[in-house]
Amino acid sequence: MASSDWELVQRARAGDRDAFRELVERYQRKIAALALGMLRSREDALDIVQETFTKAYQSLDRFKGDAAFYTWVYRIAYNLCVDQQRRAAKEPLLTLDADEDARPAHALPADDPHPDQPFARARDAEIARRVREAIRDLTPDHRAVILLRELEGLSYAEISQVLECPKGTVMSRLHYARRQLQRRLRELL
Amino acid sequence: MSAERVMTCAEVEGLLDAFVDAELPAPALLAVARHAGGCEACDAAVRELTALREAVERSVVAEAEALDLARVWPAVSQGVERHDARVEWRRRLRTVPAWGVALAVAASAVLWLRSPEPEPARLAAAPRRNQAVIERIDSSGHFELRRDRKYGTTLIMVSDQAGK
Repeated sequence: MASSDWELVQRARAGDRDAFRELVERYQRKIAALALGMLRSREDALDIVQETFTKAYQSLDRFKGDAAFYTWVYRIAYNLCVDQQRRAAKEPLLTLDADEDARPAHALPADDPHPDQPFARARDAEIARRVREAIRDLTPDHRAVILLRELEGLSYAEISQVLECPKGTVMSRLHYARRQLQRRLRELL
Repeated sequence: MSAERVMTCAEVEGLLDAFVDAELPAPALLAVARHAGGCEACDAAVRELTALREAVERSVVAEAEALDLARVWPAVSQGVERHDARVEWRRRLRTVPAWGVALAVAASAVLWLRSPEPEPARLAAAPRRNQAVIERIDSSGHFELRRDRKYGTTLIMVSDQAGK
């Protein structure tokens, strides 16, 4: 039976590195999805994932267990993404992989739902590109709410913990972000 | 809010997000579902929101799935080791008693004060012509050595037997 997050945290605190590794492997893909959605650069996203777990380990003694481990880790990752965006805003240079949406459609999904249907594949790729573009154009606050809700499936209460804002603010940001996306993507949906 | 009362479209519109996110209390959830079941416009709005959620999830998740995360743990592991080493060092420092630290500092100070001044570098290994080499100094009181700590220069003052 798989250990709970809290059990793994306790073991990691006692010096069990394998327990911490299990936590990393459990959540690294989710953190990567959040960072990728926030930053739009694979390299930056991978850096954020590494930094998130390194910081989490350093602060493990401060994790009290009053919130879920993953909301705590999301908060670390979100704060790192915000810092990264601030740094990037000061140095507005494009990284080589800044516009990865320009990749060809055949390179897109790892688990291609239409392996034998090139038109359907191209259409899905185009939709995905447009969706990512629309998300990118949201403000960081709105982007974070959308990603935490739609990708990570966090509840409103959990999102308010991650973003350290009231639940009502989460609801209004989510409502605004969705209306923005709907306006941009209406003809695709 | 009573589940029995039929909601209006305006009321439902304000609850649509919470409805698709299953964040409404059960009676409200039921009321919205009942209204959407009989209202084409609200039903379409629910479907549109659901389609949007799925599109967002598909687009970003697919991209994240394609990321190679193989380098994450090795990099994190290095950070973990560095952190553990720092913690261990601090722990050891804390376990050394204060008198031990004081003793170590005092010993270092004594060693430093008693250590000979570095000899000035010799220009040549073998004595040159007209160069005297002092092999031994008999400290019977007729010689006086003065050392310049800053420049490492040694001044040897020689007096005759009468002390002149």
